Amino acid sequence: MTLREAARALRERRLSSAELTHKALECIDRLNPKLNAFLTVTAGSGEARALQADREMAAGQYLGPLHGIPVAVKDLFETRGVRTTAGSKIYENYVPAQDAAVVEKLQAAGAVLVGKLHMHELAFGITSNNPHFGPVRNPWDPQRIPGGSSGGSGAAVAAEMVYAAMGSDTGGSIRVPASFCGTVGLKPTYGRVSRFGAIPLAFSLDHMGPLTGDVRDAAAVLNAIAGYDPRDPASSRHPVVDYVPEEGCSIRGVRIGFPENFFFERLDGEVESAVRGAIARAASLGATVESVRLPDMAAMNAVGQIILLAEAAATLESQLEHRDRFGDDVLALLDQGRLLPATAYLNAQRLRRKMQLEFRRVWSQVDCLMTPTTAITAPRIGESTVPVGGEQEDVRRAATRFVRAWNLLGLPALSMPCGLSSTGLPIGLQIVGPAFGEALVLRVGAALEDGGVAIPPCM
Amino acid sequence: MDESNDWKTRAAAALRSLEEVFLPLARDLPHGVEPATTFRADAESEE
Repeated sequence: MTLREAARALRERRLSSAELTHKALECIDRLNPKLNAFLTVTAGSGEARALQADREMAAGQYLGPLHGIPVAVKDLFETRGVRTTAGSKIYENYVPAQDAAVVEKLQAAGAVLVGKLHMHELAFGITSNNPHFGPVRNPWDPQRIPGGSSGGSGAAVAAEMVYAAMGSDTGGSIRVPASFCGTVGLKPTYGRVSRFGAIPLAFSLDHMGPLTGDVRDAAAVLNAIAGYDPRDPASSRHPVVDYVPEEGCSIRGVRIGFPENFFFERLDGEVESAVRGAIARAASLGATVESVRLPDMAAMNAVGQIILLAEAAATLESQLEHRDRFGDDVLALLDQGRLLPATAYLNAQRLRRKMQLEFRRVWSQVDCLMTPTTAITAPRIGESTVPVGGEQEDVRRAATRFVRAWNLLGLPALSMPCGLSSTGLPIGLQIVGPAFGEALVLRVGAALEDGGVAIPPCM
Repeated sequence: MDESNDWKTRAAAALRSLEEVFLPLARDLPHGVEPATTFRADAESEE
């Protein structure tokens, strides 16, 4: 059942929020020992909020499609009175006095928060193989990683523990788990969703967004969380629209860019075939597929990496005297960031401006781009390299090289499942649009889903 | 080797391949390109 179907059942009083929440908590109880998707389960407050939602709806106070729906948030969103670890030792006992903006907005929309989701330590990595709280496991194959850093979010949605989960994305951390876990994941435009109260990793690259079972559910969550917030200095006043695509929406005439360079040069054969199939389906639905030459994406990845390393090291430098509190992989990255000279960071930001201006040319040619989300399907837990196109490649690199540039440019990017590999693992399609083009990106994704681009449920 | 500097040696080695891509890009930057210090996804429409 999708979030919207559950919402309809609640509104028509065929189900109660208390029942839905009880089912969600039962599912978490049953599956979390195996998947380790949740770090904290807020059963008591969740059940109380569900009863309140039922009373509100009975009294005719309907707050919208999230009202009474069980959801969860990555454990870097501050939650008043509830421990918020960011998957780290340094925040192990941190109990915030306030809610993150996203949590406030979900609560105002009537959502029922049932817990805090596990993640890669400090959101600085893509495996969610956490040295402090254990690995998160992929519901499609528990021997494999769910991706990260929002690994618990991907696993919880794929395992149908919750209808929606919030993640954060600094270099792919919503879209990589969406790709590996077979869910939808949306990284909105930078500034579209407030970062207030989300423990930062890299301030100019951090984005907040939802993971859900389908595209329209992601749009429904975006409707609830988008908008200006004066507490976030990067928050945008760009108008918020209704992001949920209408049923049977059309993509006739939409110009879809098929990248001539970079994205189809080195990737797993089954991933390539599934993504090309989804693009062909878009064409059969009336979209125009146009080849487009993109600026140097490898250069963008390098610039994005420099900014990420420097900003993350600046954010966490004060903690680095306690080196034993960090996992080896995160510590190694923070050390690299500390070593970068200020000139490297500033030149990376100069290059970023130049690349941002250059990229505008692309949007005069096409309305959106379609690419694979990741070059691979989910690797096994503990694997550090994987074969891609006949060569061994670092797992982090293979998982992030198609997603990182959109953080650098701040552009909206959606990952949606578009097929399964021969070993039964999900494959992700990425749809990227111009700044504040979420409505179009979601419409294209929804039309593809309506056209049969989808995978069967995991559970 | 001084143990307190071990992390610097390791980090410098890890950065080498990234720098091989990045440093030529930075060298070729023309004058007049200023850093995106107040980053906006769509700077023109925001300003």
